[in-house]
Amino acid sequence: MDLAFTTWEYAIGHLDELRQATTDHLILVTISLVISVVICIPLGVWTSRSWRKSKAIINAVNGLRVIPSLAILFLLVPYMGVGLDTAIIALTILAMPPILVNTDAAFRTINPAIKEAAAGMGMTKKQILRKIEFPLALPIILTGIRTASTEVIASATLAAFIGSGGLGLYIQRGYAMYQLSILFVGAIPIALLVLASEALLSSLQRAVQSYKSV
Amino acid sequence: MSTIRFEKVVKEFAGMVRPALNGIDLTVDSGQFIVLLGPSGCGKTTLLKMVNRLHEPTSGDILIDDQSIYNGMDVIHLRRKIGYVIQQTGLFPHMTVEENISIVPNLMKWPEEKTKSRVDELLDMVALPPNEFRERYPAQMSGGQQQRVGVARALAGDPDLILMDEPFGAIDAITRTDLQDSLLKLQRQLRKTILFVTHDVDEALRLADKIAILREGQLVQYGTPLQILTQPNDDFVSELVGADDIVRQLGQIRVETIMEPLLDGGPIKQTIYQDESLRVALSDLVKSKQDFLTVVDSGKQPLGTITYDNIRNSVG
Repeated sequence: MDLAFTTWEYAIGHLDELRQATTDHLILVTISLVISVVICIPLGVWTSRSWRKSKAIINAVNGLRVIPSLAILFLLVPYMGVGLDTAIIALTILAMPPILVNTDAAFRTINPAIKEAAAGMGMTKKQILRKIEFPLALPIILTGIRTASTEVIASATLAAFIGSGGLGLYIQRGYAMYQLSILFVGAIPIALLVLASEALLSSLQRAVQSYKSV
Repeated sequence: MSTIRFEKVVKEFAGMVRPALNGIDLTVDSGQFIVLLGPSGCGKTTLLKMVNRLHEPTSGDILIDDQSIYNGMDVIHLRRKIGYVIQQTGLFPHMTVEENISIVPNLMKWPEEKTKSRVDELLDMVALPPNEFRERYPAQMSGGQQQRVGVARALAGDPDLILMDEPFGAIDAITRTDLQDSLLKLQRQLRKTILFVTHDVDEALRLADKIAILREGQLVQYGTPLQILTQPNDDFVSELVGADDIVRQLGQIRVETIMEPLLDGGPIKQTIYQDESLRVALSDLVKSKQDFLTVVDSGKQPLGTITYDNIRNSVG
């Protein structure tokens, strides 16, 4: 009870700072996710066209996953220095694997009979991609984006350690000052952000595949 | 109008011992219902998919209305003018019935109103009430209903030529018979040139004006169902169609294919529908104790007569 109270008190006392930290956190997450999506969806479509490319790229990217997010961050610092750019690059690298792997899988598993029917009816390759393949792949791509956004929201915390702001600020501060309540001021909003992004993306996902269940 | 001519069509796939198709010569007249029949691996589907250029021949030529489809013809344009039906998986699952049927009209940039009325017209044609089905997704329909939509979709751009690749393959026997009946009726109104692939002998005998039998990439026999049953070219054909089982033959041949056309009014006796089999005709003749039956169309209009002799001669 005491802890809840002190946490609340600290948050109220630092309201402006907290608001700024949350905004920074969201900006960091959004930019990294957008960059990952812009890179990985076209890349995933491209790899899905050939089994060889798919195997090579997907394995390489999955290899990246083995490196812990903290390590990526600190590996970049010697080259990039500290700051927002470094944090965004690290988070983008983190967000890429699930989006790429899911895009590749989504396009590769579309029933070939459906694509053939579309071609046989006289749709061009571009039309097949836009009107048939992309809508059918979208639910699985969204699953990848969901996974990526959860990971990125959580990992953006680490950005504070290289001076990029965000809610990690309170984690760092709480840890340094040995005060659990300050730590919670960072952790609780992060948990709420994860839940909110899950809710948003899963309802989006339901909306784009309503044809399956109705 | 749409005739198709295959000239010495050869198709080799990399890494295969023998060609998938080995010098096919075949002429299809306009308005005919042609069934390509044969065991799996005989090349029938490959042959079909060459007509809309999903496969390209290694050598030889295919002509539609005496024009080669390979010389200077735009493949996208060609495909939009040919109806294409495959097993029900070919419907786009994320599109409603209306959207599925509107694909080709939209590709051809028809005005919206024309497409809308065309969708309703086609749904009526395949016996799916438009108000009930227009907005449905494929997952909300039975296999038979999906296949009706598939047929409607192929007809949407009003093509003269329709390719059907085992369209009723994944459908239960009762629904299949139902779909075959509908297709026969539809074809009687529309008179399209239809190429239809199946491995189901009964289906071929029921639907075809002419059957082309393929085996290991070669055309073994091309003729009417009656010719194929009564004068099989070789043991392979004979065995494939079960030519020595007379009762079975009677069950597969439509009355209209052997009836004597009505010359004058004449007396009308007990009637039989033109799509019924000779087996039903024989049974009706015996039961009715008449010497002939009057063959009628779906509007009960007399078309011809059928007698014991007609039936006996047909199975020769």
